[in-house]
Amino acid sequence: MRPTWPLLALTLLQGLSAGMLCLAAVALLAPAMDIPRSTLFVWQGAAWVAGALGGMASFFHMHRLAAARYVLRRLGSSWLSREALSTAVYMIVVSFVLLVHLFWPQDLGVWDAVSGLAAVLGLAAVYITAMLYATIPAMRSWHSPLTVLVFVCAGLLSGGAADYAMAAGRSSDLALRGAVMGLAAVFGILLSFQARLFRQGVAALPVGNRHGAVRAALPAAGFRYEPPALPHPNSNLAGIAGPPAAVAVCLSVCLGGGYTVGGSDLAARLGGRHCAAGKRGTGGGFEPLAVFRGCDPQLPRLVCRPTQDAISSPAGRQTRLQDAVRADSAPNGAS
Amino acid sequence: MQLTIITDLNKCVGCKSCQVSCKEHNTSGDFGPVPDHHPYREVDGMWWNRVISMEAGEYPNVGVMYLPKACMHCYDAPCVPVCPTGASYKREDNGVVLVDYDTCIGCQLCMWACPYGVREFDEEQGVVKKCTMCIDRIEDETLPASDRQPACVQSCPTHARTFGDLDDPDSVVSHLVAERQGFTLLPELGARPAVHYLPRRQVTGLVGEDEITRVLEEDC
Repeated sequence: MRPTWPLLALTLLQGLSAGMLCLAAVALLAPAMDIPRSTLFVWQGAAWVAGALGGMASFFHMHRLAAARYVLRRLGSSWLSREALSTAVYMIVVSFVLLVHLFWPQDLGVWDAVSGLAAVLGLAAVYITAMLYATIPAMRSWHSPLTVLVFVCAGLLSGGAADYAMAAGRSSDLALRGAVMGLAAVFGILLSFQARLFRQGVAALPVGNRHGAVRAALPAAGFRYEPPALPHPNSNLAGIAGPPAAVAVCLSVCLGGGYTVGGSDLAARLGGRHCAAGKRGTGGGFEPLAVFRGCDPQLPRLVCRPTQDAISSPAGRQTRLQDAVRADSAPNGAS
Repeated sequence: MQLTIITDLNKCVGCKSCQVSCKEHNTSGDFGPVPDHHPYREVDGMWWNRVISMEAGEYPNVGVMYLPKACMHCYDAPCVPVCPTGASYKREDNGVVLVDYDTCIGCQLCMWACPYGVREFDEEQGVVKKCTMCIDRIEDETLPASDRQPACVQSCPTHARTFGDLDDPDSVVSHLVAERQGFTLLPELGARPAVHYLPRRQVTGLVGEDEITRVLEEDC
């Protein structure tokens, strides 16, 4: 299962928007940073655009818009319900910040206050989005406070970097540059911890170590183990051995169970497992008929049929079956 | 009251009749359909019940175990509190976890929250679907008593599955769980599943060589 693009867009753009707005609020409330108010307004406008795009993307995540009116029903238990509310409230306040600056430019006190409020709401929205993922116990690699820290830090870092790019060359932005670099360092440390969590989660999977996509973890891998899609059995038969394999199976069954599966030297050449039973694959009353690949392409199996001698001679058949029983009950490779 | 299905892993032979009968009933039942999006290309469409085959050991000491896996109808179902619209809910009277298709927005958060991966998404309808414990059968009073049980339980040829009330200490399922060390999957996640499995026991006494010889002599 992988996150869809609307989900990624909402998460990234919401963090970006909140990050840009937080830095703008800090610059407003700390005049020591010496950033012109026109630049701050540009940051806030960009934050609104990012937030609006993320909000629009989130609508594409809903498959049934008809039921969207119920989305605030479970505010008491569902972080997704809370996310919808917090994102909406945040966007309303950010819009209000822009309106205050556009229509009441002389009211600097009000602008400062509303900007601070929007920054706090933005952080709250990012926190709620992060909690949505961090509170799922079934997701071993997310179920940790680290997820919340990474979300908040990623938002501040992306927002700070965007602000820095927009302010470049306009003012003495030493403090801004320092803030962005500090955030990048913290983010790197957090990510390394999170990567450890992911590795542990993968190691806990019983089959994870054998599956490259899962071992590679983020972001190409499935977030939960999904076995690779199995090819259709019929396509295997047709592709590898064709009709003879099907005939072989039918023939073998018709001949009173006188068939065997197991690797012989032919299977070994194909990279298959050379197992004890393979010794009776050819010879000893059997002749090879076809190679059958089941669902596991790593284990090609040799389909054999009894030789004419073995069928016609009861003694030969008895000896062969006893050999087979010995091979089956012996430890691997010791027949 | 907590309805549940107990599976005896000693009796399950992996025939998948529970899987097929589930799909057969529910495709035409009240909570259907259970669609295959590419029925002629991809046989692995939506299944509310899947029989997992697990192989253990190295040849020749190999065993295969079959585990029918459907909704666990957990006491503390993790899929229920995460749903923003309340579409995913647990019935208070019999403990069955259900999805209300009319209020589901298809966000699939419940599929992430479910530790057992038993919820499936219907792209056409845009809703999440899952095992309903055949609630449309067990509550249909027009059906004869023998039909008022889940399709998978009714169809099991080895009678590996038993349906009943886990909260009733005198029910058959409660006795099975208590006497045969019934276990749940992933208990450490705290979902408290209602569906239990009876552990598989080692079968001792392999067929001896002399017996094979005797059978062969009779055969020839």
